[in-house]
Amino acid sequence: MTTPIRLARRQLATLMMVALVTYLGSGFACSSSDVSKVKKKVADAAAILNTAAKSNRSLYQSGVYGVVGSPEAISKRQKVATVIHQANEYLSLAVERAANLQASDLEVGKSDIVKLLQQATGVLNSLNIDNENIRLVLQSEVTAINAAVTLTLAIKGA
Amino acid sequence: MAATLVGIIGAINTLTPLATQLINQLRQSGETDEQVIARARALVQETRQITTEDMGDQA
Repeated sequence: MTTPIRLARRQLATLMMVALVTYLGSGFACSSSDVSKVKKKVADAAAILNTAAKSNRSLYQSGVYGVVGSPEAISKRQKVATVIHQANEYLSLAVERAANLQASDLEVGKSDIVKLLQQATGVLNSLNIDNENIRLVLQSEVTAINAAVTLTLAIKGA
Repeated sequence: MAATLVGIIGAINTLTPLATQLINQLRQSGETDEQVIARARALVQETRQITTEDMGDQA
């Protein structure tokens, strides 16, 4: 038979255990602002790649790739569009991973996102084209995405 | 009574700039996580559309 004193002690012990677990858990948990930062970095990378796609079109339309409508100019535009398209598909996966990111899986999620962003830059780096302008555009995009990767890695859980 | 009034006015004067600053910061950083992801998805979709068109043969 449990006495009221024993019952009260048991309840107090349970309460203290819950408080202790909550306190220790909060020490290891990542804040929601860290998750927000990672999401913003992925959105930054999406904006960077969007700029690259628009730059490619602008360079074609302004005749930098050759006479507009010529097979040579169209071929260059297609070549650049293809690598941006492939990189964008990796980025699309990164965005969906970021959408599901929770504070509880920040480290794993961050690692997944960084891998996808690195795959995107890998595709962009693979382009071999004899046009200095688009090479500079893509190099700057790769640098910007790499900066997003570095910043994402720098985000530490609270 | 007068001292209380002065105290209240002083508190309002102190808190108003802080509140304004806080509101400005909220406006600048404004986006919620959902809005950030929605923006990223829209950018990815727009990029996909541009590159799909530009991979084609049309001038």
